[in-house]
Amino acid sequence: MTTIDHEAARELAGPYALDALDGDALRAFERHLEGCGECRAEVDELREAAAALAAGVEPVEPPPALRGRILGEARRGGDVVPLRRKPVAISRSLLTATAAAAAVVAVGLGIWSGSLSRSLDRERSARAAERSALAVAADPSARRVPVSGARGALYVTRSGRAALALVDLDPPPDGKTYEAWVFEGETPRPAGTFDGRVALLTRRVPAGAKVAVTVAPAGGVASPTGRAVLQTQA
Amino acid sequence: MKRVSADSADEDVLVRAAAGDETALAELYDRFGAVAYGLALRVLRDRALAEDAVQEAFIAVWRQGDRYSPARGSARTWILTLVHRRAVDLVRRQERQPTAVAEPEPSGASGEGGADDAAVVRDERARVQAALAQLPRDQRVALELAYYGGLTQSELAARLGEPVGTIKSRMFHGLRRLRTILAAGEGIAV
Repeated sequence: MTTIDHEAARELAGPYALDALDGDALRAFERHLEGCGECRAEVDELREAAAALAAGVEPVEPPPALRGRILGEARRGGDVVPLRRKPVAISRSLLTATAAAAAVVAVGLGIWSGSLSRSLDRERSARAAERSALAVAADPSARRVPVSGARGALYVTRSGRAALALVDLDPPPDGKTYEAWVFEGETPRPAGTFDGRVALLTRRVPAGAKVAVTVAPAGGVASPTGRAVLQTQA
Repeated sequence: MKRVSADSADEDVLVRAAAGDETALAELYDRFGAVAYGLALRVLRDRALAEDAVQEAFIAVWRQGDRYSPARGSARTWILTLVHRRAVDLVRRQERQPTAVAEPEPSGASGEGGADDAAVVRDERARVQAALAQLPRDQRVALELAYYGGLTQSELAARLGEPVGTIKSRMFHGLRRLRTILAAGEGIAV
């Protein structure tokens, strides 16, 4: 655990207010903030200035559907979800993982805690697996194909690389995993297992191919059993 | 365009949203959605990701709004901080990708608020840009690359070939000076 003294911490207030810290420096600074009112006050002031930079950007009217999505998600969420109890429940938005969302809030407020830190570490390792999938989803050439059975989409690039990005997907039951399938004709071929809400398929998806996801025993299986939790056709 | 509670202070609306008032959340979105989306788009240069950043931030406002303390800053700052944090988090993941993400510019669609709102926004932008222009170049570059580009202090140091300590100091002094310049105008913009 890196700790820093007050003088070293003070220097980090500017980068922190600009969200320009990461890794150990970020964690160390946030730990310092918990106990240092002077640095919190400094950060608050600098944050106001940083937010002024947002006023220097041209506002862009978001797509009209976004408003409905946000209000819909708020409505479904109902009561405030405890921040740490069950990370996956915190945020249903797909690219976001739990601790990241928790971190956003924590960072915004200058709060932090050991348990959040730990969940963030876990999150970071999960993210490594998500990165490739995110690259596919972010590829401007990727087609977005809606899925049925869950909110979210299948993204398929021209070359057939494919990623699933799912909203509202609960974590798989203990001892289970999600497994993706790409159909060759009527035959499902395994395309990788995943537990998160973003998954890179390990098999290319030709145009028109059916894609499905089932719940499988941890480690995955060679042929699917049970009902598909979602499916779509590329 | 101001709607239902046009007269309520942002902070009051945020408190109502935190208490579970959905119309208050809608009102916050109507007030800050375009600024938030513009900011996220500037950082992420990808509309789908920018939408995610905005959605995530507003859901955080909804669920964690009770953590907001008016004593620590304006509601606007708090919300935009959530949006920005989320946007840089996403952009950093993207930038680690081998696949370069293209940079589609927004289609020029701008706010559809009334003419008065548009004028106010233009005025604010002009003020911030003028304030930025008054900063020493080194400080301005550090602020812009960090805030709009999502670069970390280490990335910035590497890109500019300067020690991290120098970068930290430019960020700190740049923000302080920016605040002073803006405050010297007619009330701070935040």
